[in-house]
Amino acid sequence: MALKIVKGSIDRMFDKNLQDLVRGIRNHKEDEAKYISTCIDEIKQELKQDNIAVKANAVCKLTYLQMLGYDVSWAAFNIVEVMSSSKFTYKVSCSHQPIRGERTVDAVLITTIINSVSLPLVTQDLSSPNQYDTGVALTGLSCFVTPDLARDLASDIMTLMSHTKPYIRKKAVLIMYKVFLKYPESLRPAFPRLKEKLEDPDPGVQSAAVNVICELARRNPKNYLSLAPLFFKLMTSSTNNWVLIKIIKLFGALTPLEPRLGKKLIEPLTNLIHRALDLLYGMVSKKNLMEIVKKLMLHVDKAEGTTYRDELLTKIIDICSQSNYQYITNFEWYISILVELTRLEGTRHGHLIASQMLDVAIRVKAIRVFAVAQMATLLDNGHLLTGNMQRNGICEVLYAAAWICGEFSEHLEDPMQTLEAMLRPKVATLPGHIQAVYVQNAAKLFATVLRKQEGTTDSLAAQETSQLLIDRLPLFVQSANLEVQERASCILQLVKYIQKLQQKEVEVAEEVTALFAGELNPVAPKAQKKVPVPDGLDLDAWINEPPSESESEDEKPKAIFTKEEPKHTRPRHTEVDEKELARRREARKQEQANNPFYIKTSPSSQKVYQDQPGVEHIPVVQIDLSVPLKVPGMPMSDQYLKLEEERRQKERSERKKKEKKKKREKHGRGRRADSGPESEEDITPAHHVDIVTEEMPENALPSDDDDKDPNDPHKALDIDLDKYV
Amino acid sequence: MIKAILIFNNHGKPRLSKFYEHYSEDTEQQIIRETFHLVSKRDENVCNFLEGGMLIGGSDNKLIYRHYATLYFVFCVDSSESELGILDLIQVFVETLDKCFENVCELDLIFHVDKVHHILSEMVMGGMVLETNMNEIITHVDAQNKMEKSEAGIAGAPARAVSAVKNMNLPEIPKNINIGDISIKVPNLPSFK
Repeated sequence: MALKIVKGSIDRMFDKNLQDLVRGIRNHKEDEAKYISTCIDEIKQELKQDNIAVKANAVCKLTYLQMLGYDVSWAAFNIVEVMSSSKFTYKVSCSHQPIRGERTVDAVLITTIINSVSLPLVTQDLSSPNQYDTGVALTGLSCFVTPDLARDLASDIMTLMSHTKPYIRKKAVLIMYKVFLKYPESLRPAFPRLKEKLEDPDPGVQSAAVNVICELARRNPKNYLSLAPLFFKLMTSSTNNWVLIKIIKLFGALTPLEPRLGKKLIEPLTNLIHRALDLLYGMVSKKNLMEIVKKLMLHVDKAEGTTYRDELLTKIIDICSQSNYQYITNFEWYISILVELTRLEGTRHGHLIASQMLDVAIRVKAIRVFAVAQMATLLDNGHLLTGNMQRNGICEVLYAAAWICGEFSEHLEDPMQTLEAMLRPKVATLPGHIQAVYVQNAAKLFATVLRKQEGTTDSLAAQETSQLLIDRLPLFVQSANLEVQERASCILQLVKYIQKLQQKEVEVAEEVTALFAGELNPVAPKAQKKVPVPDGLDLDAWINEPPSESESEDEKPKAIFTKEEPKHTRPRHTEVDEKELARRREARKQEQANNPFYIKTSPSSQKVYQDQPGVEHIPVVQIDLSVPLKVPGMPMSDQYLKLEEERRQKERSERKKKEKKKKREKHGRGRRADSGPESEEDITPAHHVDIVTEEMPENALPSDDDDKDPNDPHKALDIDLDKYV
Repeated sequence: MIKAILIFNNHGKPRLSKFYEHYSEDTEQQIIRETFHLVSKRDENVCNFLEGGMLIGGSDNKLIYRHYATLYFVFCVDSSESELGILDLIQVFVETLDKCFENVCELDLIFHVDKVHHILSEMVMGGMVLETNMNEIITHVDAQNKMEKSEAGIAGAPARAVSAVKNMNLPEIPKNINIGDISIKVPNLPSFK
């Protein structure tokens, strides 16, 4: 008897374990099927043995064979038997085995076996002190849970959700999803506890809970709307990326049902998008820059009229101009991107685009021809851009365009056309600094045009050009902007002089060009520091004798002013006699008449001034305007804003609920969101955030060929959870 | 939800297959073959995400794969999972395997597929992601390994000895073992296989 046992154990030593099986299969490549059938016979023998270790070994091998495609459902009972073992090792080997039966008769049989055998076993394991025993039971359960098992074990698993060990809690929460699928009635009692788990201190448990609820909510989103505030809080406080992803997908499913949610989500989502955009800096390389920017441009197109669009614009430019434009391979493409960006309405970054254009045109010599051509087109279509008069609005681009055309005018195809475009009367509506640039560069263009025209011995054309300038410049001379006025006057005089010379048939082109000769190169930011100090110059030495330290000098100036001032002013005052006054007045009047800046007053007030010298006696005239000041060229959007404000004023006075107003002020982004609820949808453009999500419709097509229709559990899970929250 | 996790080599031989939904064995094999066809055609520098084949759920499901040396790791997921997240999960899985097996190679997966299953069950359970932190996963796996070893105890010793012998590769032992001055010549033993 004893010998038998010893013999038996020695026999068992030479049983094939998993490695042997695998090795054997590899060595029998030619007759694999035969070898495997031999092995299966051996396995069947082993399963008949009493020794549980042997059986476990057999089950292990069966798992491997199943992966190769061999049907092992006949061993279901044995697998369950092994599971019943008290030893962890053996249990583990079964936990990966999805036990199932395809054929209906077998299915019933096997499920009965499983239910009757596994239930007590699993229950035993579930309450085991060893957390890994429980863990293994749960893992196994996830593979083969049946409706009956689910029903019976639901309460046990719910208890486990509050286990002391987070490892168990995590697994229990996750398995509840499978339990819900098989036994929908368990959702009602389990839900409050599941909700609690969302705030579990352990992050693993929390993310498991988020996982389960997100899965459930995908199918029946409306039941989970009440959880939205809780998820919002989680989203803003969590740093776990998996959790964030799941919650955002969940919101994607919920937002169509609750539009206000979308508005509330904008802020945190924009933060996330900013973080993502910041990543782009590091991501960019020569190859992908163009594609990335193309994608960003698509986004820019989609994001109409939001600050997001401006952010994108800044980002695009930042990325492109990184490290001295090191990533740009094709500057023509970059210039065309910049020109496309100018078509954006309402941007506040016109100066940024303008400075980029200037930068590229100056630094990249090769691109100047292309750039100049593009800028000329821009100038021709300048009237399209003059609608936006804001500081830093898109009309800033015209500043750059004019300068580039003027400086590099030798590349222009049709300088005459551009000159003409620059001097159109509409230009006078542009902001002052832009007009100034226009005028100056018109002069540069004039030089180029002259050079061209004089070469062709067509003096009439040259004279016509001069005449054009003389005709158009006076408009600028009358401009209210100082700089424009000065430049225009200078250039006008110059052109008049040139015209005189032209009439005498003198070639002037050379000299005019000489006015604008020389390249303007970009200056390095540290250039100033690097200017070498000439020899013999000591910057720290005193230029003059340092003031002496004597105190008398300090006092003296004070004394002069404090003592002598009263002496000086009054005598001066009394010295002046009537004649002096009259003379001075005449001189002043002359000056004022000649001074274009002096606003001439009406004779009555002048008289008053004459009679009573001294500032106090000039009466203050109230300007009484019945008609409101109309600023020409004011953009349309300002009018809308005014209308909006007026309407809001009315509503505020009507509505007396102050809390609502305060709330809206907190939540709103910008002034638009502050308006009343009824009108919000009408006026404001959709502040919608594009969350891409693939929604599963209620009646999704079955995706697996399980016996039951998988949609049934989800339909059954469609209950109102608000009572249980 | 994750529908399936597959590992197969460059010739399409499955090294690990875990399905989280019920299919028959034939369907499973077909799915493995189909997935292999889809994935092996891909160039090295194209996107790691593609739509699932007809059997695995068509366009609703996506295949997210990574190619490491001779192995393809493929996760079949539906739309509730983030593609980049799963890609990261594959990376974590492979790194965990590397830690547990010490410079893992395909042979390790071939001969220790049960261990791979254990590791995977610490990461994904019932089709949902359980744990993504590598250290956590390794802690639990190690703890469970220790449990197994301590359970086996003395009784497991003969079995371990036998498998050690089987794993020994005699032809590779050096012919000459040099310990200082003494030189022992190892006789040329016949192959045990």
